[in-house]
Amino acid sequence: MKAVLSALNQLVVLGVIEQYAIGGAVGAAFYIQAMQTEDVDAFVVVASQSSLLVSLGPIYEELRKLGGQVEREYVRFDAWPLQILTDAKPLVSEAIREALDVEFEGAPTRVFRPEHLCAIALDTGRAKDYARVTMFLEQGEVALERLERLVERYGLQNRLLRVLSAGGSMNR
Amino acid sequence: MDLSDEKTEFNARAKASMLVYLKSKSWEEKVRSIERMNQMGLKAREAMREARAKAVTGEQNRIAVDIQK
Repeated sequence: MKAVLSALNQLVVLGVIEQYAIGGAVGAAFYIQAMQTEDVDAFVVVASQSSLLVSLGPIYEELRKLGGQVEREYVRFDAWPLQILTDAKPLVSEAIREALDVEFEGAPTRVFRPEHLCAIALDTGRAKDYARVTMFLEQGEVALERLERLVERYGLQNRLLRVLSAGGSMNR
Repeated sequence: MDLSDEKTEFNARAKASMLVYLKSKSWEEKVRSIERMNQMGLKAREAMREARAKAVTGEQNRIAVDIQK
């Protein structure tokens, strides 16, 4: 895991990406206990280019040089598969911008805030994503008022209501 | 296709690729993967607690300096 974070930090130092933050299941694991297989979702802001293909090439090339094994669209560092995802939506751009600085095993990194992890999960909208939001609420790791304000800005209120009506409203 | 569409399409491809990888794992590999994830999670939550404690201390120090001014 540390190798993944060090490689991502190196991409920023080299200017291959402008910034990154960890989301998905690994991001959620910084707050809640969850039963998930390991795959690291790194949401990146690519260095400004007119074409995404031009921007992504150097990312995979540098990750390979840093010891990663490139397999299709993911890169494996030992047991940890790293998935590079782009800031395709304004919600993700905001989540990267406002991510929290954390040091994991001596490697500095950035992790999405809990309300962004939940809002992105609601936006993705699979059963396991709704379950993750329920776990954040049940374990008291997201402030419901803050999450409500965020989902309102991104038109995800109905999805949050669906989770709350299914019994996830215990953190109010 | 504009940049935003390109990004959306790339993300979908990346997620599909990861799904294929995860589905290719045997049951035993999935169990080991979840165990590794649990171990990582324990360290990650400890790291987050420390980061939050530092942020609170930093903010308290900043307020103390402001009061002294």
